[in-house]
Amino acid sequence: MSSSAWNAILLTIQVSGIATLIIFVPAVLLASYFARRNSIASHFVFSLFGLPMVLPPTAVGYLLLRCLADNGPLGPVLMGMNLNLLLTWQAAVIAAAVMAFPLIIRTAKVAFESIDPELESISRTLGRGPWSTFATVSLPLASRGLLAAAILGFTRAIGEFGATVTVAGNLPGKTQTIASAIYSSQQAGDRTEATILIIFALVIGWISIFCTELLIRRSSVEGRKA
Amino acid sequence: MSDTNALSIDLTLPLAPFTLRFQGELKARVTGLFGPSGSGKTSLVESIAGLRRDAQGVIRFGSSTWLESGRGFTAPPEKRNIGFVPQRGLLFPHLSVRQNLLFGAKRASTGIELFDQVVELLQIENLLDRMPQTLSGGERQRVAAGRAVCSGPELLIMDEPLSSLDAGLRYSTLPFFIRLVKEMDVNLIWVSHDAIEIQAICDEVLVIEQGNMIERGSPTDVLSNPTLSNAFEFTGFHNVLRCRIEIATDAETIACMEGGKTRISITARRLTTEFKPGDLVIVTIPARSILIAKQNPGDISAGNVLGGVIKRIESQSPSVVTVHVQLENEDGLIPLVVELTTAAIERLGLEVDQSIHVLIKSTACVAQTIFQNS
Repeated sequence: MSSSAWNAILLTIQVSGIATLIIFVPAVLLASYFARRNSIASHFVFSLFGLPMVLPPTAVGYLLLRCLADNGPLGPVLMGMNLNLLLTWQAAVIAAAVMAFPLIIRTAKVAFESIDPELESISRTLGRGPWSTFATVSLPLASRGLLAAAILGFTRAIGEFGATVTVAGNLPGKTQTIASAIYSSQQAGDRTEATILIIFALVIGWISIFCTELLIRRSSVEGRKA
Repeated sequence: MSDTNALSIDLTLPLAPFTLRFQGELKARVTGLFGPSGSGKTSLVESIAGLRRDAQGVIRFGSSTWLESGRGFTAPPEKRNIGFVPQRGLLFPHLSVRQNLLFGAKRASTGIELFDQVVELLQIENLLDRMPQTLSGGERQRVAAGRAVCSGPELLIMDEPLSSLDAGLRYSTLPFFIRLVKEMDVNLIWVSHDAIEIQAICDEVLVIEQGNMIERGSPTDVLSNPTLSNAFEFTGFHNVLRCRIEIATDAETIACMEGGKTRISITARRLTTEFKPGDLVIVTIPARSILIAKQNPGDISAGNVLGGVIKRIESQSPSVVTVHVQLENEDGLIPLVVELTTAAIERLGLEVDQSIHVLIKSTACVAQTIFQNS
């Protein structure tokens, strides 16, 4: 395997892993909040989180670019911190995080929704407050679904291309991920490298979908038994 | 409930077909809420427990206020110090039986002592390390009750805890609950649409229909009166008595009514049950299976021929009459309800204050152990 392919694989794992870690906790907290809300207003707010899933990734990338640019809304803030994010691997992390967020929060919400709300009520009658109930009842009962959400988010981040290329570019060894490396090798007519990268993406994707299936299936079986 | 921790309720709660309006004070140690399915019993107890956000009105328990919607105050469930046992038990599926029991134990001041006592009373020692999914329906309900008690509540609410069980299992699980209530110093609200449960466990019963309390009183008085409740519309009224086994041989079992002197010959609900002297049992006797004779009939197969006085005669329908009999040598605490036809009353010329004999077959006196004498 060429060193650029190898670099792309390592960078992709790093970017996707960090992106998933950053958004996982906020996504889980928000998902648990929205799982028990049923008003039009809450559905409206929640639908906003799904936008990156339906917008063209390049559109998301463009919006991020405008936000992060020196003259964008977040530009002055970032410049004040002396960060120049555009065209760095950190920008790729941000793009991957934004694109994976909808998948994580949606899967996590389903995991919380599948818990019998009466179990949470019973916990309250046994003297546990909302946070203690969340930690000792909701979280453990949703754990399989939450793990599935993290795996799906991670996999989505691995496949991310449009938004990443827009904010982080496609610089080999610096910001080139598997997706952009496949694109480059295809453009350059390097079939071998493209094939290696595609096989890697295929294996990771397949394993993660399989794991997710198992997790979601087993959690629904347990839910029925309880 | 003593006056210091009486539960006073003035509640309005809009439900789908009607609005629940309940006003009253619950003072008995064990109060039964009786009524048909969909009458609003569960919504009422959920409001008491703080699980209904839409409840309006005032709820006070002793000196603490749980709800005062006028000034926008609602105490969250965890601040009410209650134990709630729902219909489906709802054990935490990710925790073992032991962990379930200890889930709320932090709150209880008596902690582990209470745990040991509950485990012994409910006979769940061999279940402690099992997961809820592996338990039978009756075991699950016992653990759910134990979990609520282990949290050391001041008020225990049991919302039809036996209704998900079939009849056989229901009556074999009931004694565990009676034992728990008898031994634990805690006030209880027992919701049920089973009149036998109410009589076996409650000091007072409130009848709820269409979201309103339509009657309250002693379980025997309220439930034997068809104009107050149609509890026994299909099966006829069942007398429920607590008795202690005195003699148990292969041929016959004799039990003495608790708090009284009358001895009756009984049979076990399950034919394999072996009674021992000293065992505490509940005995159910269908009012339809009791005969009344003006004179002692002498040689007769019925195992029980008891002297008594007619205290009340009430018409249930044009053809059926309820006769309340006070047994001889009893101070009136143990009334026996007998169902007869109007024709029989007329034929015998029965009237109030008349001395009569009641005849009950031993096989109509069905007993279920509550406490085994060890």
